[in-house]
Formats: sequence, structure tokens, C-alpha cells
Amino acid sequence: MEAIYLFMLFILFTGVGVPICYSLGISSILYLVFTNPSFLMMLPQRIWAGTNIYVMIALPLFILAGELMNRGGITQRIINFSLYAVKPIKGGLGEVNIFASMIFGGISGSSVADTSAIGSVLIPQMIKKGYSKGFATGVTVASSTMGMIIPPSVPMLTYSMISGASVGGLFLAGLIPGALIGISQIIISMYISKKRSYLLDIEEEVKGKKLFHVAKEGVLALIMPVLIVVSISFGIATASESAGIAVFYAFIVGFFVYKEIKLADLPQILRKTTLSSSSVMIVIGFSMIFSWVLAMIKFPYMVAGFFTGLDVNVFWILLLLDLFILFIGMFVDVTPALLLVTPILLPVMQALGVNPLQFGSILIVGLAIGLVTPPLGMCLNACTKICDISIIDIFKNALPFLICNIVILLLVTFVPEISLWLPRLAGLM
Amino acid sequence: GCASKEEIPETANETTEKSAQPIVMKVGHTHSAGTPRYQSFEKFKEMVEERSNGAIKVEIYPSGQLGNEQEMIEQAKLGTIQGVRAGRFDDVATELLVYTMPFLFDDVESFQKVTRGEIGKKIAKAAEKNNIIILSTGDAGGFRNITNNVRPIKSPEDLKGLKIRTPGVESIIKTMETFGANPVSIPYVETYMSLKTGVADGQENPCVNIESMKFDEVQKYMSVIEYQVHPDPFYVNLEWFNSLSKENQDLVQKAAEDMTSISDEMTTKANVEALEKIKANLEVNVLTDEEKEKFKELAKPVYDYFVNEKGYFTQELIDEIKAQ
Amino acid sequence: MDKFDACLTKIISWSCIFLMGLLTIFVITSVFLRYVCSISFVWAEELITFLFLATTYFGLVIGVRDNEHICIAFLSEKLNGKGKTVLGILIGIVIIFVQIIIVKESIHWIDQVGNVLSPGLRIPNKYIYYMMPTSCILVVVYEIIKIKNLIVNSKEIQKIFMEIGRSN
Ligand code: NA
Ligand code: NA
Repeated sequence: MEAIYLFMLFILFTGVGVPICYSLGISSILYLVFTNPSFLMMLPQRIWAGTNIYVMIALPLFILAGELMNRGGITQRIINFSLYAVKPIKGGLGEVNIFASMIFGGISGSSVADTSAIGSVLIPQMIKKGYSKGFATGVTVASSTMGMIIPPSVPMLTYSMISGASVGGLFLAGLIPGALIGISQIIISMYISKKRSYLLDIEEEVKGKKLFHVAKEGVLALIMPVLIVVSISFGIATASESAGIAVFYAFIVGFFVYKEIKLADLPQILRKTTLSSSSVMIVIGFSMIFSWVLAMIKFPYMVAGFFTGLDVNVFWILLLLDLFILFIGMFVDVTPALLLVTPILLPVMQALGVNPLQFGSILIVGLAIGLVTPPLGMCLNACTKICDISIIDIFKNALPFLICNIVILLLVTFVPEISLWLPRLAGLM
Repeated sequence: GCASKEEIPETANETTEKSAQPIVMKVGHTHSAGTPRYQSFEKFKEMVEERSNGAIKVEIYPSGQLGNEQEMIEQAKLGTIQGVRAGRFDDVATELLVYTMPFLFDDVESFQKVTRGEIGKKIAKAAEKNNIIILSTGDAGGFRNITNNVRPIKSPEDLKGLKIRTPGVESIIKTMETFGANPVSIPYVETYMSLKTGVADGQENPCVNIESMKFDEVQKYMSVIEYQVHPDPFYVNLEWFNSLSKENQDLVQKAAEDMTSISDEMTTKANVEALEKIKANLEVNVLTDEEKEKFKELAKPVYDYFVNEKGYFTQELIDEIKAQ
Repeated sequence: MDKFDACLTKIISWSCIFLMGLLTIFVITSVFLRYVCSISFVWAEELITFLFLATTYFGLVIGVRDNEHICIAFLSEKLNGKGKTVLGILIGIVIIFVQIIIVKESIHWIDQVGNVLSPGLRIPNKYIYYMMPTSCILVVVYEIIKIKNLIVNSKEIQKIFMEIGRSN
């Protein structure tokens, strides 16, 4: 029960606005000072350990690739292509937003990158077209959750590192749940758009551009997701290598083909990349001391004990697992949550017959919802920075779309084949 | 009956001992449930707690809960935890690397004779300068063999130019280079995919690892070359160990040796079973003594490199081991 | 003070840009060498990791400088005037406290275990470990500048100072 104090300290400090990383630090420090001050010497080692993870090099590289795509015109062309793609269903910009996130999800490994990339291009356009600010931001953050579910995915890399599950297998496991979320969100978006009679004149967006032209330009942009998914899923390159390939490709296309990147922009892009990557890595670093303290006070055994001690049907255990993941996702960011939850619950779930790939899918789909729920929702944070609207307002507008995520979470939890069919087909399990 | 006559002195005894808190020994490792290391550590806990009548309490932190091997060795050096079983030999004492010299041991028996004998104690002594006492040294996983997708390896020529995935262990990389292979550094968890797609042609590992990581599914040949074996030292914080009473030191020492025997026995058994399973999936060739001789001859510069260039251990130590 | 801030920020910013650029080039080059030329270096992975660590720890400093660190600004958005200033100062003090503890502990840590050689490049780990206390000290410097600016910019707090001055 000692863990309660640790969590309470953390909630207190984040609540008053101390940056998440320092909240994790100060709550661990205070806890150790009062229980075992000699353990304070673990502070530097654990923080270092959290930042010294080779596979995470993929993170800055995917962020950089995203930046280069935005500046180099690839993102805009993906949006143009999406405008044509949703034409047969008479969709508007809301559906374009979701569809573009599905494609972008296949490029960036991070949902936060997706929010900032698609949001910064599409939200202003949507508002101009008469969509409410709430709807525009809500649909953006909700569809961004696909960024970490549709491969490639940095959180999946983290999960693979902890669980030993194959990266290729995890990526394929995320494909169907990701696509299902996208399709169901598009349906919700069409329904709301029709009810509120948002404009549907998408043709104007690509007026003057022939379909052939859009497709031709789009091809170069669309090769990228294919390139990355194929190279990682089939093991041609490791995750960090294919992130490197993505950067190289985005630069070549943006600089030599579309000629939209200027060399003078590069320092600014690199600085922004360093900042985003560092602010994520440092949270991981500090979460390691937090989770080390949790391990030392045997919190993992407590939670595992709670789950194994439950004398109920597997159905209820899995349902409780979903609720537990949603709860953790409200307070802890995806990566530290994975680091805490995976080693404890994976053995418990395996004993119940849950495959590590399926457990990975459950965690990823569940924690993705946490990106859009206050108090700690990284996509919400990114979105408030793009346009001036409160976190709570974005969340309210994202809710109808999040129902899709919750339904898919339940599907992934109770229908193993949704995540396991493709990996089995590819011989990865 | 709850208060039988025999129980009265026992409870009295307990209260006197309980006034002094039990000594806590925190130990860690990175292996998961079901492995020899995990299971033998559980036995160690049982043995120590039973033999000390609860005066020493052992807390095990498995599966890398407290960090990776390098980090847990640091924690043991600093005294945050009291013990760890891990590799990373040069973090503790470069002398331990002598065990990993190519073809130093002909069989598991001669390896165990050294680790459990006087020479083993001498090598272990080198760790004390780093505030670590090595209570016992076991076999980390049995002899290492080579698998690949190109051809069965019978002579050094067969290995030439093959891209072999290696872990970041200096003596493995150096040996592979000396044999003419092209070592490729790939993380352990990504090895399966890299073998499947040809990023690497082959890899080297003990049979247990090859079987548990399913490398046999993506490889065509395995050559039982048994070129190297890794020690499994039980690193314990020296200061903590010295703070124990002589009686407690002896019982922890004895339990550590018993744990190592249990672990070694399980490892050997697991390797035999793994080899049987591997045989079902790929072509296995066992190198004859004459075939091995060519490799042994070729491996001499590796010894030179570590003795003369690096100065990790002395030629006398190697001669002593060979004389056993 | 402002000049010092600008100059220091410029140096660290350009270090970040340089390190991230180098990291990217190294990764792309190592991919090229492995797939096109079938060459791979064991030490390259380690060098890339060091560059990555450097971008994290120097990026941390710039993140603090630019207020880019991930936090819940809910309360500070609700507050204004004196309340906001006081909260800002308190948060700054928490950050400084955490960083000073890390500096203190990391000196002890590096002293104990810093002499272990890195497996690839075979240089003592302490030279790389020192990045952490260095970045912590830089963060403390920026937090002090920030607290100073908060006080200077806050009319209420200045008034309090002035009143203290008058009563003396
Ligand atoms: Na993705
Ligand atoms: Na979107």
C-alpha cells in the first residue's frame, strides 16, 4: 500500500504544473528520503538507463522525418490524395483528417507527431470551412491515436524490448485494430457532419488539379509508408535503420523533387526535433527511477497478486485489465506505463492463455486512448499548443470518436484473432 | 493443539531473534521464469532462509525489474542490492574473460573442475578490487555453437566471409574475426528477423538459446563446434559480505555453491534437450577432433591479443588451466 | 544577464543542431554501409548511442529554457497575477531541487562506477556520464534566470520588495 503515497505525490506535483519528468523525480526523491535515503544514489543510474536505450533512436528520426515531410510538402500531398480518396463517400474535411491520419500513422511511429503534423495543416482549413473549433480539434486528436497503433510504432518497439515479442509480429498485430478504428471513426464523422450540416465541398480543395496530377504527386509521398512498413515488418531493416531511411527519403523528395525544403530551414528543423525527442526521452528517464522505486517496494507483486487472486471468470479479469490500462493511461504516459505494466502483467496474462502479441495489442490500443484523456494526454497537450482551446474542450469533442477506440479495445481483448491473424499468416508466431 | 511443549522454546527463541531485524539480501537477475538461473535462485532463497532460521531474508528481483545486467552490477557495487548473477565480465574483473578463450576447455567437466577449484578462486579474487566477492562461478549456458544458412562449417574456410551476428562481447568478436567471419552487431531480440531476411547469415549461441529464440526455424545448418563457454559468476557486495558473522558467511557461501551446482546441472540437461529439438529442424554436424584442431591452431592470435596487447590476464593463468 | 542568457542559449542550441545532424548522418551512413557495402562496425552503434544521449541531455536544457517540457498547465492557466508568479517560482524551486540532488548523487555514482570501459569504443564510461550533471547544472542556471525574470516582471512582487525597502 506504500505505493499509494508515491502515486499521490506524483499526482500532487503534476497537478500544480510541475513538468511530468520533474514530478516523477521529486515524488521518487521525497519517498526515498523518508524511507531509505541511501537508495537516492540510484537516481542518476536509473535516469541514465532510461535515456540510454538504443532502439529509441528511432524516435528522433521518425520525428525528423515527420518535420521534413511537413516542410517538404509530403504531408500536404497526402492530404490532397486523401481529399480525392474520400470523394466517393461524399466526405468532408473531417473524414479527410481521419483518412490522412491512417496514412500518416503508417509513417510516424508516434501519435503526438501525427497530431502536430496533420493538425497544423488541417485544423485551420477546417475552421475556415465552417467546422467548429471543437469538432476540428476533437477529430484530430482522436484520429491521431492511430499513429501508435498502425505500424510503425515507437511504443510497440518499447513493448517488444520489454516482453521479447517480435517487432514484426507486433506491427502486423496492430494493422487490423488500427484500420478498424479509422473506418469506424470515419462513419461517426460522417454522421456528425451530416447532423450539423458541415460543408461537403471538397472538390474546391483540389480544384484545378486533375486526378492524374494528384495521384502522380501522391505516389512519391505514398511510397514512404509502404517503404517503412515493409522494411520493418519483414525485417529488411531494424526500426532505427528504417527511421533513417525515412529521413533520407523525406529529405530527397522534399529537397530535390518537390523543391520545398530550403537548406536554411534545416537548423530550425533539427533544433525542433532535438527538443521534441529530448522532452519525451527525459520523461522515460525519470519514469525509470519511479518504476525502480515501485519495483523495490514490490508493487509489481501486489498488482500481479491482485489479478491472480481474483476468483472470477477470465472474462471479468480481462475486463478489469482494460479498466486498469485505461486508468493508468489517464495518469502515466504510454512509455512509462508500458515499462511498469508489461513485466508485471504479461506473465499473469500468459498464464490465462493470452498471447504476448495480443497482450501487446491490448496495451497499445488501451494506452492510445490515454493520449486523449486528461489530466495527462500527450495529444491533448500538442493540440492546445497548435490552437488556443482548452484541454477539456478538446476532450469533450473527441469523446464520440473515442467510443470507437473503446469498442475496438474490447474487440482486441475478447477476439484474439483480430490481432493474431496477420502475424500467424506471416509466420511470425 | 496450538501450544505443544516443543513450541514454547521456539517462540521464545524467535522473539529474541526478532528483536534484531532479519538481514535482508536483495539479489537480482535478468532471466525469466522457467530458466535455470531463475529456478536455482529460488532454491538459493529457500536454502539461505532455512539454514539461517530466518535470520537472513533473501529478496529476488527477476526479469530485469531493477535494470539490465550492467546496471545491476553497478547496484551491487554500490550496495543498493547485495547480489547479482550476470555476464559483463570486464565490468567486474577482466580476468573472468579467460574462461571465454576459444577452445580453452574440451568439455563441461574440465570447465567445472576449474570454476569450482583453486584456480577458480584465484580468478574470482580479482573482483575484490571492485568491492565484489564472487561466491561461486557456474556455467552460463553451455558451449557455444554456430548456425548459418550457407553451408555446414567443418573448417575455417567454410566460415570465411559469412556474416555472423555477435553480441557485444569482445572475445566473441575477436574470435570470429580471427576465424575469418564477418561479425555483425545486432540486438539479441532482432536476431531472429535478421537471420530470416539475410541481414546476417548466421549466429553463435548455446543450444538452449538457439532453441528458445527459435533460430533453428530460420537457419539451415548447425555446426557443433563448442568453441567457447561463458562463466556465470554470482557477484556479491564485498562490504556487505564482510559485515556478516562468520557463521552467516559460511552458510551463504555454501548455499551459493549449492545453487551453482543445481544451475549447472539444469543447464547441461537443458542443452541436451535443446540439441534434440534442434536436430529436428536443421542439419547438424559435430566437428571431429581433427576438424577442431585447425580452428584451435587458428585461434592462437586471440590468446596473444588478450594476454599481450590487452593484458587482461597472464599466460601463466592459461597454462595453469590447461595443465588441469 | 540577458546577454549571458542569449549567448549561452545560442551555444547550446547550435550544439543540439550539430549533434542531431551528426546522429542522422551516422545512422543513414551505417545503413548504407551495411546494405550496399556489407560493412558494419561494432563501435558505430555505441557512438550513435552517445550522440543520442547527448541530444537528450542538451535538448533537456533548451526544453527548460523554452518552457517546452511536458506538463499540465491547468492550474497556472486558471491563476493570474501574483498567484501565477508564485506558482512559477515554486515550480522553479522544485526543478532546481531535483537537479541539485541528481548532481550530488551522480558525482558519487560516477566516482564509484565511472571507470568501467564501454564495450565498443573502450573509453571510460565516466566521460559520457558527465553529460548528465553538466546538463543538470545548466538547467539550474536557466531556472535561476527564469525566477529572476518572474520577479522582475511581476509588479505585485516588486511592490512587496519596495515596501520592504521603505519600511527599512
Ligand atoms: Na504508426
Ligand atoms: Na487526424
